[in-house]
Amino acid sequence: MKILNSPVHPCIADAFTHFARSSPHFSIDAAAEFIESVVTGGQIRDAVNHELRTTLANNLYESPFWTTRGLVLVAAPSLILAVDKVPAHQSRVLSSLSQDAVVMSLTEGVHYDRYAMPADTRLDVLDPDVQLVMNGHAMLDRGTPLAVRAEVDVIDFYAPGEQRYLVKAMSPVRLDFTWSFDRTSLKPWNISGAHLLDDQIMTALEALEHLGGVEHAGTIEHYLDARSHHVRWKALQTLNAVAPERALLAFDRFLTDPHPHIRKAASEALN
Amino acid sequence: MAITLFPETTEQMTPVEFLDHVARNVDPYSDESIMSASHALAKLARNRSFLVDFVNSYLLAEAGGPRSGFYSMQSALLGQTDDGVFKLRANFWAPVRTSGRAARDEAALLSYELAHDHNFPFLTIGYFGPGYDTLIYEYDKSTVAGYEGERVELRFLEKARLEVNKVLFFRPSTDIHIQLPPKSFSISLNLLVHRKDNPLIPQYVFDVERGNIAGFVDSIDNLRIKFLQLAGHVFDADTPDLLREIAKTHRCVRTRQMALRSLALASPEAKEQVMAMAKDLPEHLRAELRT
Repeated sequence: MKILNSPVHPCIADAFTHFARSSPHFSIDAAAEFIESVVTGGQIRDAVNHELRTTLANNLYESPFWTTRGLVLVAAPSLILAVDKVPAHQSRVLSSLSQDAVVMSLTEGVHYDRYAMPADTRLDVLDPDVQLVMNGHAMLDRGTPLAVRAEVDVIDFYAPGEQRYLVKAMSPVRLDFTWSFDRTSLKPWNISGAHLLDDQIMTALEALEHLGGVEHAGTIEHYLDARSHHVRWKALQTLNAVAPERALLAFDRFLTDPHPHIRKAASEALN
Repeated sequence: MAITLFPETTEQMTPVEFLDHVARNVDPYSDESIMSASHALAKLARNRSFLVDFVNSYLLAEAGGPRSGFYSMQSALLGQTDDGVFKLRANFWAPVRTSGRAARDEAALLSYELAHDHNFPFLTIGYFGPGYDTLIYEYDKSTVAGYEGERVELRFLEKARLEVNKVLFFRPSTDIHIQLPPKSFSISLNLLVHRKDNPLIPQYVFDVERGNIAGFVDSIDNLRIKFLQLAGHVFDADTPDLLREIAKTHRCVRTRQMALRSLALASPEAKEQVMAMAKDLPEHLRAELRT
């Protein structure tokens, strides 16, 4: 999702201000109400016309709201609102959503398959034996909101043969990981971080590992307590490269890390 | 062909000095002038402290607070001239696993092995590591209409590696390159040049095996096309007139064509008018419109 300089489209600004005041924290009910209000109130069509007018006035216009699938109209910390094109085909890989969301179709003809993560799945540890549960197929009626719960639902939207569009209101990231599943086996494909920032921090740590020295150990140690186990582990590897004697001290605390893969790796490294 | 340079210098520059130098001395509309910045870029690359300082500051930024610099997993904006014409960027190139599904996923995620051109000129230098390999082809943009599936005569030029202190200059809408993962972690510095008409020029993805245009990079012109496509499905009574005007006046031919496609959807009674207006479009775009 792109980060906008101006996080709210001018045609949605009033509606969003009202929503943000009454619902400072994302809830599915409030988001459904918000989506209904901007669809029936015509603000999304107004935003489309506003973008057309600006394009007409300036051929070189580089809109901050255009995306690879349509438009992002709100990119605030509490809510993302986007109009997205629906894929024509069922995807080969199914991905879980790390955010709660409410989805509404702007056109007829949107299909979806609904799957669920098995109950009691530990979501921060890739378990190759987990298998998605298929919960059926349906059409998404135009104008009817559909709730998608992070950590629970995996929904696959598609619109065979036609261009279709959805509007989606998404919460802040609820789950730090996105699971991907093979459509045929319904078994995990991989698990990846849901925060671009975590990926960027890991790239910066990698750069520090190669360009930096022991004088940067303090910076690296800051990330030994990172929320994401991917970042914690990368920080430990980086520290080991630039200041191995300080990394040795850190290995001990990783023996009791909350993530089992890190506990195991730390134990193997010390032995 | 893509130009390879080995500027020799013993001096160093800071990013601020480098951007000041290009703002004062480089004409963004002259490839020769842009290439003349290679010496300054080499001086910047000899400065071994600014990038580690940048990365360290980025990591020290307060948790949850604003961080500036990285805008994707692999790229960080180090600075730009006041007018935004010249941008200085660092690119971080990670190796990928050598085989299996994970290798393919990683290569796709990091945009390796994708043959593409650029609609802007850029100068790049190896800063750290062995550097990525790149396969370089060229095409003649004057022979290209610019539609998916179009046959394009591609000429293979060379396989180059962006080693430390080596500079490559990529000519806009002429050089095509395929980046291959480096053997180990590598960093390059780029001078990106924004020309006024960039938003009107497409960036293509090529299929070098088949010798054709496989698609479009999502630069601003392609995002505009995708937005106009949306306007054919999400519209009100005011939308058709706006689409009609864009179809008449926009300088980008693909934009005009997509405006007509969306007009036909938003206003089915305007179909005859759409076909009449399409007479000014190139044949391949008219053919797409008919279907």
